[in-house]
Amino acid sequence: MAEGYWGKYWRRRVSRRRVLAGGAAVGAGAAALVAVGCGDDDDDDAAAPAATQAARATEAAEQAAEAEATEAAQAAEAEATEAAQAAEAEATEAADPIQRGGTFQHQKSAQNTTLDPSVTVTDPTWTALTYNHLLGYSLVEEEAWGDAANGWEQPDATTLVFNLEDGLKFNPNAAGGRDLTSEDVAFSYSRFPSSLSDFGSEVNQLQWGWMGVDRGASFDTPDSQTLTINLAFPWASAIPSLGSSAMAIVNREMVEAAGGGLHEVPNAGAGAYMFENIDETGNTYVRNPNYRGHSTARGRFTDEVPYIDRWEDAIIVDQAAREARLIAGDSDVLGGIDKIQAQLFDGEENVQVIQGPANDHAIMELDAFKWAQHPLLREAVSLAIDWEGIIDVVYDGEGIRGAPVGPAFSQVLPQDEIRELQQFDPARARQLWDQGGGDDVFPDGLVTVIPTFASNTRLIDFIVQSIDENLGVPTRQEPADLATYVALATAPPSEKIWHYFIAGENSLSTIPDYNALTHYVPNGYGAIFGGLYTFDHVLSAFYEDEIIAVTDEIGSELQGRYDLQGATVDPEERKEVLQDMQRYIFTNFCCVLPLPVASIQYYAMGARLRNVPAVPDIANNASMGYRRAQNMWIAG
Amino acid sequence: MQAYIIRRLILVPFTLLLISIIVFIFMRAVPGDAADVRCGAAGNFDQQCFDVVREELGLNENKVNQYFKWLGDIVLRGDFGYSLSQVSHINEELGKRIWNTAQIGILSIAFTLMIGIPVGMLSAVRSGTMLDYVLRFLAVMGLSVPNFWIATLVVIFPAVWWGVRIAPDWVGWEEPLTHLQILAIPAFIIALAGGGTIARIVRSSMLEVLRSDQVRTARAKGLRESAVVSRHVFRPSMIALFTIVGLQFSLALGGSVIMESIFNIPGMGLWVISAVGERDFMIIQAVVVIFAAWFLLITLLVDVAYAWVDPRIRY
Repeated sequence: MAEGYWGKYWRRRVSRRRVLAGGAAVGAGAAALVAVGCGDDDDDDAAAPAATQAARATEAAEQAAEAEATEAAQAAEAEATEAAQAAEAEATEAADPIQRGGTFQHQKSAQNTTLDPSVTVTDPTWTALTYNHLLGYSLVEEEAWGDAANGWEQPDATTLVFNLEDGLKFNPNAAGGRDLTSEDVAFSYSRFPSSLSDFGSEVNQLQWGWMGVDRGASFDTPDSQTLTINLAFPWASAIPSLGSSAMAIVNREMVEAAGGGLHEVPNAGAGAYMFENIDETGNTYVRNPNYRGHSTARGRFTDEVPYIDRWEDAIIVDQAAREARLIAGDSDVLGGIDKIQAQLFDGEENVQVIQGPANDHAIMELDAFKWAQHPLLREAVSLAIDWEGIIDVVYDGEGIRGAPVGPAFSQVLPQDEIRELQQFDPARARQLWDQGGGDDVFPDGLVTVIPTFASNTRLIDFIVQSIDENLGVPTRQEPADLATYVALATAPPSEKIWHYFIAGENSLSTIPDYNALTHYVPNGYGAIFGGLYTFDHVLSAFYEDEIIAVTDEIGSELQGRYDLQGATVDPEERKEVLQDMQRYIFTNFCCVLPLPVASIQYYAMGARLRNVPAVPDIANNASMGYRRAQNMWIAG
Repeated sequence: MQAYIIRRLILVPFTLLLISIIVFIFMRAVPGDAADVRCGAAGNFDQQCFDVVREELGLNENKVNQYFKWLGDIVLRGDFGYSLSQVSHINEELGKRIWNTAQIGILSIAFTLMIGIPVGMLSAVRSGTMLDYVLRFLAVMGLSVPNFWIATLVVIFPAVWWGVRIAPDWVGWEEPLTHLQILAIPAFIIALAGGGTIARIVRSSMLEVLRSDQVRTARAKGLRESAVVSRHVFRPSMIALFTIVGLQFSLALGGSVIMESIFNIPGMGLWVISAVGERDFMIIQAVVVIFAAWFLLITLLVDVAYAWVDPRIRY
C-alpha cells in the first residue's frame, strides 16, 4: 500500500527535545502575537443619531414619574400623561410623516417549542405576525377592534354573530392562498379539546373553555363570511377573550395534512407576515403577499398593509446581551423594565421608555388545605402585613393596592375601600394568631417557595419579614427553578411542602378582564395551584373525601360567585357581582390574598419606532400590543 | 506504558457508565420534569396536559426501563434520542453545536498559552522587579475575577459608553472575520483565568530551573542570557505545563457553558443551560456524557504525554 501524505508525519519519531523546543517556539510566537494582536478591529457603525421625539417622550415620562404623591394625584397624572402622549403622537405624526418599510428587530430568549397556536401561547410574536384573529382587545380603550371580523353582534347571552372582512386570504403556502371563510374560524376554535387530549396543549383551558366547545357549544356558518358562535353557557368576557393569541385562525387543510397538529408546520394562517426562516438563532418574517388592510381603520389596524416590511426575531438568551442590543440600536424592544432601569436608560439615544398605568396582579397564595380550617390564622396573616409599606419599599412609592380584578378595569374596587378591607394591625394580628392557636397549628413556622426565575424577591422578602416581625412566625424560604416551582406548587393538596407563596403573574395579558379572578377559584388556578378543591372539581376523584371536605365549602362559594359574574352579561350588573365577590375575598382571606402592585409600568423600546402602543396594551397578548400594532412605523 | 494505556482505556467505559448512572439518578431526583415546564410555564395546570406530555415523552415509564433504553440506544446505535422540550434529534443538534463549542475551546487554549507563557517567562526572568509584581498581580486577577462577570461587562459597557456592541450576533463561517470576532472575545475571556494559572506555573518552574546547577554552568560558559533562558531554562520548564494545559481543555469546555449564554453562541453550553431550565433530561445526559468522555480522553492523553516527555516518569 502506498504511504499517504500524512503517513510520514505519523511515523516520524519526534524527540522530547524537539517537542519542548516546539513549545518554546510557540511561547515566543505567542508573546509576539500578543504584542501585535491587540489592535482594535471593531468597525461597528456609530450609534444612530439622537431622536428628538424620543428625548421629548422620555422627558415627559420622567416628569410624570416624579409627580406621584396621592392616589388622586396619580390618576390625574396618568390622565395628563396620556393626554400629553396623545398630543405628542399627533404632533409627531404631523411633523414626522409616516414612513413605510424597514425591519423590526425583535429579540426573545428561547425558540418556539411548537408552531401550533392551539398548543402554545408562550411566544405571542409568531402568532401575532403570521395569524389573524377575529379581533383584538385594547385594555387602554376597554374596546375590541375587528381584525378578521369587521362587525359583530350579540343577540342574546349565548349567541355571538360575526361578519368577516371581504377578501380575506390565507398566505400563498396555505392551501394555495385560498379565501379564509367562517368555516376556518369555526374549525380553529373547535380544535382546542383535541389539542389538549392529543398533544397536551399548554394553552390554559381558561382561554378557550369559556366557549364550552367540549360542553355543547356549536358553530353555524350560514355563508362563508358569517359565523355564529352558540356558547354552551353565557360568558360576559366572550368578546375580549377572542383577542387572545390562542384564538388564531388556521387553515384546515394544512392541519389535516399534518395529522391534526401544526407542530412543525409554519405559515398556516392569514396574518400580515409569513415565516421566512426558522433556525437556532431565531426567526425572520416577511410580508404575506395575500394580506390586505382592513375595510376601515380601527385601533391599531389600518386600511392598508402594516407599515413595517419585515421582522427579525433573534434568540438572545442573556438579559445583559439583550439590553446591550437595545442600547446599541440593534434591537427595537427589550420589554418591561423597572423604575431604576428606566432611569438608567434616560438619555440613551437609541432607547425610548414608554410608561403608563400598569395592569398588574400579585398574590399571596395560602395552601388552602392547611389554612381553610383556621380563619383566625388567615386573618392574622393578613393583618400582619404592612400593605402600605409594600408600596413604599417594594414599589418605591409607585404602587397601588391590588385586587382580584385587574386595576385597568372599571369593576375593580376603589382604593379607599380596599384599604378599609385590607388593614395592617400587628397587635390584632398577634392576638388572633394566639387565639387561633397558630403556634400549635404551625409549630415549625412557615415555608415559602422562592422562584429563582422571577424578579419579585423584594416583595417576598418584605412579606416574610412582616410575618416574622409582626406575628413572630419565621418562614423558611425554599428556592426553586421553574420546573421545581411548578412541581411544588401543583403537588397534591395534602402534600404541598409550602404554607404560602408569592406570585406576580402576567396572565392578565393573556385573558383580558377576568384572569386575575381565576386565581381565587377552584376551577381556575385555585385548586391545582392552591389546593382549593371542591367535590365538583374534575380532579377531586383523585383525592380522598376527607381532603376535599376541608376546602369544599369555601371553594364552592367562591366558584359559585365566579360563575355568576361570568353569566352576568349586563355590564352594570356584572360590576356589582364582581365587586361583591371582591369584598367576599377580602373579608374571608381564603385562600389567596391580593397584594399591592406597581401603579406604573415602564417598557423599553427602540427610539426609532413611532406610534408605539400605550402601556398596558403595549405587551398585552390579547391586543397583542406592539406585535399587532400595524400602524406602528420605523423612522429614519 | 502500553499496559498502562490499555488499563486506562478499559476503565473509560466503566467510568462513563458510572457517570451516566449518577447523572440519570440526580436529574430525576430533582422535583419537576419537562411536562411541568411545558404545561406549567404556559400557565396550563390541567392534569390532562401533564398526563399527555408525560406519556408522549416517555416519562411515565419505569425509571429503570428509561435508563436501560437510553443506555442501549447509545451503546448499540450511538443514538442519544430526542430532546424532550425542543422536539429535535439530539445527534443532529450535537452535530451542529459541538463544532461551535470546540472552536471556542481551541481558541481559548491558544489564548491561554499566548497569555500564560510570555507572562510567566517575563515574570520569572525579571523576578523580584516591579514588572514581576505587576504581572503576578495581573495573573492573580485573571484567576480570581469570575469570567461571567468580565463577559457581562464586555457585553454591556461598550453599548452604554459608545453605543456599540463588540460581540455581534452569531454568524457562521460564511462571514469568517465576523465569525472569528464572535468566537475570539469569549475565548479570550475564558483564557484569562487559564492564562493566569499557566503564568504562575511557568514562573515557578522557570525559577526552579534558574536556580539549578545547569543554569549556573551555562552562564559560567559565557552563554548569552537569552540563550540560557531559551535553551536551558524554558525547555525543562515546559514539562510542568503539560498537565495544566490538558486540564485547561476541560476547563475551557466548562467555561464555554457560561460564555455561550452571554455571547449567544449556539454551542453545547447554551444548549445545556436551556435544557437545565426546561428539565430536558435527554440533552443534559447527552452533554454530560460527552463532556465526561472528553475529559477522560484528555486526561489519558496528558498522562501519556507526561510520561513521554519526562523520562523519569514510569507507570
